[in-house]
Amino acid sequence: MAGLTIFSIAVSMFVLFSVEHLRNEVRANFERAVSGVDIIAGARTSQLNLLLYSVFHIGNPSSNVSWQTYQQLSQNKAVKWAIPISLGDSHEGFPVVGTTKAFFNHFKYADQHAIQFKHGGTFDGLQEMVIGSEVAKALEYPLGHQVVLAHGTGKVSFTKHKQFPFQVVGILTATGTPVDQSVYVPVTAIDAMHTGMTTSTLRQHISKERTVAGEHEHEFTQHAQHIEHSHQASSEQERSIDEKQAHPNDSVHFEDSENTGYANGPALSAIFLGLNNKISTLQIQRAINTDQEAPLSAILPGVALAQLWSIMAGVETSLSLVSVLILLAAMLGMLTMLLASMHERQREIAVLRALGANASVIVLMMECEALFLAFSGCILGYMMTNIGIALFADLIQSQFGLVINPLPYSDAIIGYTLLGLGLSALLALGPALSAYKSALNSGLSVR
Amino acid sequence: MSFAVDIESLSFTWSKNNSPTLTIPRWQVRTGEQVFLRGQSGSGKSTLLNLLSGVCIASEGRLSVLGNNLASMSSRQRDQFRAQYLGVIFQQFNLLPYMSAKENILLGQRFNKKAHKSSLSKSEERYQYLGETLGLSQKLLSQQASTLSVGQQQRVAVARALISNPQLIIADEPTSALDTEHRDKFIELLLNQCHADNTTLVFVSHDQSLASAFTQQTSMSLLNTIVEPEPPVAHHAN
Repeated sequence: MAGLTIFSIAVSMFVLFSVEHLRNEVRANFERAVSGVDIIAGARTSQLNLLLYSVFHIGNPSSNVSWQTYQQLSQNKAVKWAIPISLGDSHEGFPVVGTTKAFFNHFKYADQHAIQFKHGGTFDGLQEMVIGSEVAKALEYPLGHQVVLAHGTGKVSFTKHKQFPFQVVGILTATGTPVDQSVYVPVTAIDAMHTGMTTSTLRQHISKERTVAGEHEHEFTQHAQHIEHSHQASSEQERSIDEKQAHPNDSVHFEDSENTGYANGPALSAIFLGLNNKISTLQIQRAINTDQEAPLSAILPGVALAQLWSIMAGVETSLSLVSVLILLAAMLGMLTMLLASMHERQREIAVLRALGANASVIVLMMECEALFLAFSGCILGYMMTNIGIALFADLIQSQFGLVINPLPYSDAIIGYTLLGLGLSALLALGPALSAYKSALNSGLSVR
Repeated sequence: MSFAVDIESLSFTWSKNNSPTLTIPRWQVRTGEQVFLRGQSGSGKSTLLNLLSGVCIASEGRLSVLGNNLASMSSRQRDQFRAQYLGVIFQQFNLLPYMSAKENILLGQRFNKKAHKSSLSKSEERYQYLGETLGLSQKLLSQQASTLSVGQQQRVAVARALISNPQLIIADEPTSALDTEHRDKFIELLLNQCHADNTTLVFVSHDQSLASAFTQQTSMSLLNTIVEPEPPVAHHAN
């Protein structure tokens, strides 16, 4: 019976620990997903939607951002770097992200950690791709593997871009972020793929487009130019590194298509911006949000995450409350067990009284038993949580993209353990006082 | 002449009752005497034992045990008095099944402050003496109480009652669940130890056939004026 009580307390503590740990891990996972990005710009939508689809690949953009807008933003003197993000395709259920090499150069995760390659390197050719660590693990693709992407973001797609295959040229190291579960291809390849171009038609198209010159200065550029005066030299230098890396390749080089702006350029889902001066972040954000020519939403990732947590706070509190109620139910089970065992204990109590134990010893004995049961339950619950994490961490990471670390013995865990012990001590007072009363009244005459 | 038990005009009423359960005008037990106390169910035997052990306190009258007025003691003092001077043997012996025989025997020492203060060797000496006298081998003493035979439990129960060298032993129907052979052995063992240590014994039982082995026999119906007199045959022992 005591074993069953310990087990029921352990299950409650397991739920309590798991909810608390998952809550912290989800928050940590979200917070580590993006770092160093000052502004995320996208089509007009709520800041949460923009954050969720652009960084976490949850949901869809309401509209697209034009390639021209990206170019104008990236050429703004206040902008140190810009990363175009194009979503909407998938491969075996993993989202495909169309981007440029700037992504691998500037995007950071966790505490300013740069993305690194485990094998190979970034894409140079238009039909080259880089895959995240989880994708590589799940699909077991080696470098050089040929891949066909599917239209749409679902796991099952009836439309595949067979005319436009890709080759795996890089595998990223694990980051514990949505990057691990993504497939990265040149942004221009996304557009080429959707317009039905083959490699040869694309090469002809680029050649033709190169003769067209001239760029239109956007109103936004004029509006934002006066904001930023410093860091001009460094930003231009970095842009030149990103955009002017030329590589000898017999296939179509993706920068060729990007820089010549064939057709109207690829449609984008979002743009990540890094600024030269953090002080100007709010001014740039306002400038983007109020631009009449290109209606965009610009968000600060940190602020959007804070809004997400404020929305989630109610859910988190509810989960914690349910966990505490489960713990309370287990403690009531323990109370029932202690009360039920009182009859059997009469003999033991009588023996102790006869041997000279005073009534307070009986109370102390009951309290110690309750604390022992609760503490054993807490330890078992802690072990169960860690065993659960060890068993299901990989599954959770592959299914939900969440990295769940082993449960540390943190202040929160100690707090919940103390809560369990305190509750058990409090609830055991009933049986303990009953035993005390019984010890006083029944005397030595128990049969 | 000193008295181990000296009762005068004693009355006891349980808190939930209006009328007294026990009324004893006068009863004395000399030191070293072995008393056989017989009584029917509900005659107040257990109440009397609770009063003698200090677990319950008399509502009226005087009760002196080993020269101490228990009513004037605090609850804690009475507990200590019990640990130090009294030994109790229960019906079915009531050993704690999750403890070894040795732990059962030495359990009372934990509550006996005097035993704590005295040297460990003295307690160990007494433990060794009882073990040898009662035929308790080291192997048997290390066994769980629940694994012991009835005869072994008897001896462990006696050792537990005698470990603190008590001056008064209260035995509450300890032979009621025993067959004749075990019962006789137990009585012999207990009385021998009481004689050897000059310990006073109050032995409660229904079994009239045991009465002759004791130096004093009495009936609860004679002591407790509230209890109706037993039929004449039952009074024969007195």
